[in-house]
Amino acid sequence: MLIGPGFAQFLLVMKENTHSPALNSATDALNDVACPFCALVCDDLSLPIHNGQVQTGQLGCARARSSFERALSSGQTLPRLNGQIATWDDAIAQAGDLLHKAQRPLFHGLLGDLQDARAAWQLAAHFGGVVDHQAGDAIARNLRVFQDTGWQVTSLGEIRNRADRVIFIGDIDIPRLEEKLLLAEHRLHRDTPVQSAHLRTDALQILEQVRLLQRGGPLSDPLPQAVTLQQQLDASTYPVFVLGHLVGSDAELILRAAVHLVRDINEKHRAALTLLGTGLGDVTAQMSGAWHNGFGIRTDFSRGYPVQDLHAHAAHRLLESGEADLSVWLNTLGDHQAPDGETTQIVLGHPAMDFARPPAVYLPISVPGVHRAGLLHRADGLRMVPLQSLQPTELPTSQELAQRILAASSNRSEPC
Amino acid sequence: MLTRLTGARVYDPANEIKGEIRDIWFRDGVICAAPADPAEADRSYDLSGKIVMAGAIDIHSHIAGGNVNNARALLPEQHLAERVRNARMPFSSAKWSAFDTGYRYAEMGFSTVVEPAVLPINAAQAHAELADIPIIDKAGLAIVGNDDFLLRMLHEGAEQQSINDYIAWTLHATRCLGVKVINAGGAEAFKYNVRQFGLDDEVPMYGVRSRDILHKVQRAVVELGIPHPVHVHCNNLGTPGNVQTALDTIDAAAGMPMHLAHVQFYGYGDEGDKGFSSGARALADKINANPNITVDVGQVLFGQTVTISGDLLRQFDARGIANPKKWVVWEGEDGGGGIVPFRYRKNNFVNALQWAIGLELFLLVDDPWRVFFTTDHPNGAPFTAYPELFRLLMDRDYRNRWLSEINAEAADISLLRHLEREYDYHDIAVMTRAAPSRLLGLPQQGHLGVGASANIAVYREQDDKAAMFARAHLAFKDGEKVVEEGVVVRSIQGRVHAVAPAFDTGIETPLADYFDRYHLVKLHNYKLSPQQLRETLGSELVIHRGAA
Repeated sequence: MLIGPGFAQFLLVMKENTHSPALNSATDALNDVACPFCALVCDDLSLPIHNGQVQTGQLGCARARSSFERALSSGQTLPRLNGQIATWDDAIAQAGDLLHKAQRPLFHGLLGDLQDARAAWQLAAHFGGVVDHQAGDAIARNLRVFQDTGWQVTSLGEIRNRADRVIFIGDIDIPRLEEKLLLAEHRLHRDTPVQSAHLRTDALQILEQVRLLQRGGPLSDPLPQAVTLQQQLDASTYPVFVLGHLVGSDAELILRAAVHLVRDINEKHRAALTLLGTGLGDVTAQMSGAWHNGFGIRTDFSRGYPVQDLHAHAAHRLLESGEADLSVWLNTLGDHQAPDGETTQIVLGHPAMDFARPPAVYLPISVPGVHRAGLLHRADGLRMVPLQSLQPTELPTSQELAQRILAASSNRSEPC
Repeated sequence: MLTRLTGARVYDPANEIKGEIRDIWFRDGVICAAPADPAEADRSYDLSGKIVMAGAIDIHSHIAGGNVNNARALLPEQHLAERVRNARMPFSSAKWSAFDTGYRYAEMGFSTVVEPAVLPINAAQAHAELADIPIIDKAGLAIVGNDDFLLRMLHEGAEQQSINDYIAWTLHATRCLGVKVINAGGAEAFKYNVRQFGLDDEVPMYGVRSRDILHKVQRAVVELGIPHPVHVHCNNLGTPGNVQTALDTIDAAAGMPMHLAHVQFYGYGDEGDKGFSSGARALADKINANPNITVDVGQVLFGQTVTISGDLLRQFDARGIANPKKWVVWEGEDGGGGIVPFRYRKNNFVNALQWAIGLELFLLVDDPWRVFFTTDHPNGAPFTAYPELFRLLMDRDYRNRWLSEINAEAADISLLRHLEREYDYHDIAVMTRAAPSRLLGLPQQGHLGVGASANIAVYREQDDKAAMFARAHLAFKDGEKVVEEGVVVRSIQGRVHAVAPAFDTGIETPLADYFDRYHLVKLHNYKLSPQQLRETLGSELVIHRGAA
């Protein structure tokens, strides 16, 4: 059987040494490494091993470089109670105690991979909590539109291979997006380069006007950008609207306009939509939520059964209103902190996390794609990318911690 | 632990047991011979008045993967949760969750279910969802036939051996049990703005016909010795007159094994005032005359459901009938699909006739070893409707009462009133146990012989067969008692079955080059390894070797 060199190296690392890097040849490298630190989840990174240490300095992507570096160099391996180092037994007992006493714990952040999200779903179902993602407002907005009308979407791979025009809308903060989608050397049955444009302002008006123009409707004094876009769409065989981060009060309307425009075009020709999301586990949180509870994020288990409410179960609303009496922040991928506030806080987090105001309980956990294997959706939700373990750690995984907390809870009394 | 089930009537067609009262013994997770001294039993169940069968196997039910999961999110109003039914089981109150899927199947006495549409690019998510379905064993069928690599091979006139290697490699990469072809070439054609695509149509850019793709894949499956024949979703699903497509596809099978999925959706003539009629007789006759063909029915039952399919072209075409009025179409690497919610109404001529056509097919196909129970969950109805379907087929009076309830015109033109056949327990056991085990190549399942997995369903005999099969009196999975009085009492982790036919790994050289040219994924990250599935998902894979 043929095994890729990267995988062979990976096995070698795993086999030879569990707790510290093993290879010391200057020429060795881990190949085809997946990067979980943005929405694209590239899996083509090469990380040299030098003196047994994984090297990140040559990574071309600054986001990947700093994120891998931060995880690989983080030294915190012990939990803290109110900022003071504690034993794992004490910290887990304290977390279990807080969760047991909470009327409505909020599990949020969820900046992590599938295992991290699964831990949140299990804890929330057991302790009767609510689950949301750090990007919950954007996910909920998209879900509202999805649940109202559905949509016609395409994958990142299809854009790369088939789109002849890409219309970006909103802020896009994905370092290698252009390289991956627009600059591919080979494309399926196409030798013409893809054209692209970015609607930075007036996106809503432009999309609405293009819809009218498409239908041949009367439109006096259209925006020149709308006329141009209409002409470009007419000349395209497969235009794709790629939505990045939408800010502002018209975000939902922009999405709806794009959904309808794509549908209109498809009555005769082809077009599609792609939503990039924010990365850092937004898609995985929503997707895994759907198969765990039927719905996804912003789902509440406090009544003993899952209830989704895209407005009422927003993390920020539950914290501001005081309805959530315990904040459990999960974050293994970013440097995001939980929203500051009075609510007692438990953090299951990246080992490099640093706190201005220490949480009641901080449980450092392993980082997916660095300390342990994992799975994470790329932005289009079609592909879950396997994440490798690059450097063994003594840190527990989110799953191990969740199991210990659940076991501690089960031992002390009946489940909630 | 040694367990004895005693006093029940046993239906075990694979071992030619037709309702005799006999003991079943199992030690831990495996059926065993009776010990010399019955007193050795650690536990014994007196099952007088009960019916015992092996755990049931569903060969075609959409239970996992991105298309299913997006349908959940699209339709929250269809599965609002209710107050907890059994607080001891995780997520047991979450309707249509992965967890709920396992509990509900187990309650009906099922032990294994096949997800029939795993798009390779989405295989990791499909496995993630399968891993979270408790109790039952699972397997997937990998979709091929709209994959550019395969179409290129066909275009370039590749040797059959290379195609075999590629098909085997796809199964290796996706960890699936068999191969599914969905409207071969149709999704790729749709990507060139083709909106109708038949068996003899050519895929643009490749110059290969749908039938050529199907034939090559079918042959690969045969030559690789994969037990499950190519699993075919034909062209022209759901269109009046499409029975001809099914008949042509059976001819195209040329005597080699082929499984046609959800044939009810291809049992349509185009006669009569409304241009829609039953083609069941012609289709059943053709199936009866071709012993190389197996089918599942995809029965329609009345009510709200949602159609979920990898037939991109068909789902786009169905957007206008969405009820409620929302729909999803998606395109992805080597395929696509769509989600169109739908309500089958008994007073609607077409829906009523669809219901009747499914039942006609069940009753007109003679050999119970070649026709399988499916509703194509959730496309024809949710899998929880199986007990109702069993009753319709086991109880002619009940069926006739329904005939007087449905659209009168449909009832009048249906053959159903003239079909006297009633299924018996043996037929049910063949169709849901013995035959699926053989069709899928799972020799330790679907029967109660020594060495089989101790997957056992016990039913309380009742006149109302729907009530009888809806809730097993007892169910054992790998020897563990998982259901008692129709309620899940224990949740365990099921296994995932996959096949691994041998192939020339040299195919990975052109594949790696292809991935680097056209994919956003590196080849070795595309392939799922058993170790990784175990480590990241907790999946326990059982790898079955092909016979080649």
